Amino acid sequence: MDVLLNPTFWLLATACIIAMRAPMPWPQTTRFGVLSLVVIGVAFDWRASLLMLAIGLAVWLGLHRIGETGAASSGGTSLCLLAVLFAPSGVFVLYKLVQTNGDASGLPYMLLATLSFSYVFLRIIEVIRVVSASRVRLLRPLALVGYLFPFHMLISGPLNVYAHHLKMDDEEWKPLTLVEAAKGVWLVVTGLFLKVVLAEGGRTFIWGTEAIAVESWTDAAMVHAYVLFDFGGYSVMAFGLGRLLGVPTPLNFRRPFLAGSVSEYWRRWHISLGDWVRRNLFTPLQVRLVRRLGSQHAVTVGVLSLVVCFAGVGVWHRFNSRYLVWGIGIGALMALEKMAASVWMRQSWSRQKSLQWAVRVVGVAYTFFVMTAGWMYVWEESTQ
Amino acid sequence: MKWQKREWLLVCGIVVDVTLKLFLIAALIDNSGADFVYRGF
Repeated sequence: MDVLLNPTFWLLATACIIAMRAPMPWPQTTRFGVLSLVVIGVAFDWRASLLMLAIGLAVWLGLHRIGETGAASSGGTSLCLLAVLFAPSGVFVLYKLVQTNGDASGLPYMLLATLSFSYVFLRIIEVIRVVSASRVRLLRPLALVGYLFPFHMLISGPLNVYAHHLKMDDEEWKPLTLVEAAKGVWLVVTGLFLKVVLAEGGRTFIWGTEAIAVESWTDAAMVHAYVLFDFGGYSVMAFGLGRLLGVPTPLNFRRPFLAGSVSEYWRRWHISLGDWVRRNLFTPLQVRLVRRLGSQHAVTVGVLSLVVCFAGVGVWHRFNSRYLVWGIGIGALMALEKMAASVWMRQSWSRQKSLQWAVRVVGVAYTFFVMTAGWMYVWEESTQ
Repeated sequence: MKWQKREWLLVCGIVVDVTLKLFLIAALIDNSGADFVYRGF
């Protein structure tokens, strides 16, 4: 049975809110790590909890070693960094290969799928980058488990920010007020409503109990809306639970169908993934390329960085050529939009209000059409 | 802490909204064949 209809999960989540909001001597991050281990172990699978602990400890040991040897030996540090980077990357590649082509019923795959390893992998990359490059404090092992495997963000994200998670320990303890609790409960129930009534109710109304089939443009537009309510519903629930728990949880969707361009769409749809890409991939890559090639190639570097980043986003979803082509296409479109916007801004007539309004309307229609066509291209295969 | 009118209205509004939504959710779960399985990434 899915987690949403599992009363054990909701009982445990309520107990976690009480435990997180009670005045206790334990740091919030450590407390949350222990609670996440218990929830996953009891509500899902105790072996998944053991795997969480093993992965968390392995990442912690590697990063702790880097911190210890950093000043003394750069060779040892590089070796540790490579090990802590390559081991999760290897597991991620194998996980994705099995997901795409292999036998998805094996125990290791099932446990990694229970933990949504695609998201865990991105959190591991973030913690490695932040701790090794920026020398930000490394959380204690159990607290790190809480960052990598936050139980309320496990099903479908969002991707929490390491620096924000760290701040939980610095904040002064405050009791949960009735107004805050009411707002949190409203968010959780609204998320549940989006998922159950709008997504699943809508799906059953349109396609019956049969599997979703993307055969026409109308189907694709409806699936696009279904995914928004389905994924958005989970994200709103996680956001509400995060507020109740006092755990920083980012907002993941902000009216994406009102986006006036593909670039804006990615600032409204799966926001935490877009932010992750900007922090961990786009900015570091762009800075390095500009340093190597020089600022006279800034435009080429911008285009290249966008295409590489979105190709990465494509294969992160699925290891197949369709998602790769989709990612490259999105990156290229965003680069084109950036160039068109800079030309547009230089025109004096572009400041006319009526023209701006018309461009906005056309932009919303263009974005919905382009993104639906893009999703249709990748979903066509997976729903066949 | 003494509650202001605005806070009472907010909490009452949330209680009504949450009750309606839960009613619709329960009705749909009872009457549909939806399996509620996430098909995400």
